[in-house]
Amino acid sequence: MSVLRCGICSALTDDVVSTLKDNGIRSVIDLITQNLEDLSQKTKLSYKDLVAIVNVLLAQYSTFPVTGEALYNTVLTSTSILPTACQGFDQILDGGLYTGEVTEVAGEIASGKTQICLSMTASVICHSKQNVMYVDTSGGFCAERLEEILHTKYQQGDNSDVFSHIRCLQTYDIYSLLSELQQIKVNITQQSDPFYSGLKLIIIDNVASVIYPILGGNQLDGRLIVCIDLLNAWWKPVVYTLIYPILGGNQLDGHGLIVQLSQLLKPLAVDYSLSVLVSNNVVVSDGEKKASLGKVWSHVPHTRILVSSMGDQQRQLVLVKSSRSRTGQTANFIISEKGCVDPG
Amino acid sequence: MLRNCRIIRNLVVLHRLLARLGSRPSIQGIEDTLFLDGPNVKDVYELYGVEGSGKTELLLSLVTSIILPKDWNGYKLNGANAGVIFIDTDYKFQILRLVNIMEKRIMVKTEHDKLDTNKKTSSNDIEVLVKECLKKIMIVRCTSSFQLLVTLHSLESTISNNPDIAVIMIDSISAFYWIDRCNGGENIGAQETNMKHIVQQLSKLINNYNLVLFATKALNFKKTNKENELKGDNCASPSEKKVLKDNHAEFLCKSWYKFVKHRLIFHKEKSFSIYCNSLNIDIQFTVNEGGICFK
Repeated sequence: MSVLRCGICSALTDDVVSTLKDNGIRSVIDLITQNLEDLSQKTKLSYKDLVAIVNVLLAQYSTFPVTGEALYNTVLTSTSILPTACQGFDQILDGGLYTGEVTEVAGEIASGKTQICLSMTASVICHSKQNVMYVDTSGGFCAERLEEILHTKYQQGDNSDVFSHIRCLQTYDIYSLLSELQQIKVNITQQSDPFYSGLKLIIIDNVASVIYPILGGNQLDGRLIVCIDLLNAWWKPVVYTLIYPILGGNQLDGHGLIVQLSQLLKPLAVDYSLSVLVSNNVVVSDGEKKASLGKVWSHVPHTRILVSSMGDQQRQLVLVKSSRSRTGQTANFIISEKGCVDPG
Repeated sequence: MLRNCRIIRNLVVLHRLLARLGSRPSIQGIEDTLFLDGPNVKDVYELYGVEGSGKTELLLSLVTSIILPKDWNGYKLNGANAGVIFIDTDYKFQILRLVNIMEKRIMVKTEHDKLDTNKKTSSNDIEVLVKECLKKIMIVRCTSSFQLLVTLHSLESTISNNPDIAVIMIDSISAFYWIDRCNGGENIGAQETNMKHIVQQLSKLINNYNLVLFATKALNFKKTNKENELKGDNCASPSEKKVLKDNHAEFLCKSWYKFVKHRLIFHKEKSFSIYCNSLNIDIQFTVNEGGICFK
């Protein structure tokens, strides 16, 4: 909501602003939704000036249409595909992670979400030679593990500078996550840090741990019980009483913040042709596993993959949402010291 | 001064009048299984459903049918040869997917009716055609309801200057619902101001320029079980299924509810399906490389 003030354009002088204000027109929306002919008669302001003011405002606050042809050409030149170093994975993703998209990996605890994130990081910095921003919200980032993958899979010695291609941010709440993402956007546009010009992948592991606390109690009931049931200990009731008051935020604000996060992530991915990989937990509803965080979040990612454990090191991936490939495709992989690799 | 002002005003009015009178291409019959002999001008369609139920996919299929020409090199492509404005509020518009659907559609058509064996269509020709058609779609991306409102106002001149544009698509209209609701605080009127203005402006554009509007709306609220049960009890068993199919619950402002003419409700269970009460349809569809396919 922008307030009208002088200086936005030459015709919008102090006198004009105050005249408009006297007629109940304070914001940009108030002015552009008016019938200018009536307004001109009512306020004795010149019609020509009003039209000029509105045109300047429209030009300033609206976005411009791009023709499909121009967009297609831009996308063709700017889109890159980041392979995942795991053939089955690449196959269901139609080549790998696409820039300009938000991809979500959802799975239970210990199903290999963080392993996928770490393997992806290694693949991007060694194979694609690009930079990675790793946003760690759950304390799951493990530099030693990443070093192991880099060492065994990509034969990176101790003295190589691979670690300069990755930056790790630790945020534990939604507000700092939003401000960090904003900062990344600023840094990319400023172009002062070479790290950001080579940035191709942003990982958020795990998005659920920053969003859970802002969702209201009602929504969480089912999930909480699932989580706490896993603990299976005598002190379960104690945990219930401790956790409830912390989680009981305002549900409305929660949804608003989720949308705000998505309105920050997706333009970041699309406008700066980055790929965004987020991890999420799962919930069981109607006997079916699906990504957690509810309906509002479910619209956010472009592509969604469910990962589940098949025992030992075996893991299975199912593509549940995609605009490119057929959904329902599956792939298997193994978690080894080389990260996520094809079985056999 | 006064005279000057009148001349400008008359010029603007004249210009707009001409734009309104000038005929825009008709998109009737683009998807006859779904719209029968429609969509007629001034129709407003809402595509409603959960994520991944095929709403955006249907929009892309429709875009393909709208922007392709009727005939090309002797092949019948059955397009409407019209222009589209695609407002992408979800940042989900995938141009590569659209191009895929278009290429597939053209390939199927050209292989289907081989008119002339001498005439061979190379992939190069198809690419040229696709690029030519892509000029007819305009993509606008918005990040807030305020920006959407201002953009809709600024689009008026684009539409009046471009007589090819026959359709506006919004994917999705509910994208800013939660943000607006939070910003509005306790006051429902304040929560809905922007949306009301948006509906007002859309209705002005649609009615003044004889356009068709397609908008997707996410399923944010489930109808409570109680409501379903109540309705189910009153209805006889054959129609009970239909009651359950109509799981729509309005959460945007009332003026939007009145504005929508046909509501297509998308379902995804074992297969994809669309249910629409006002058009009296309940059909299943599949999604493949060439877009949406009705059974």
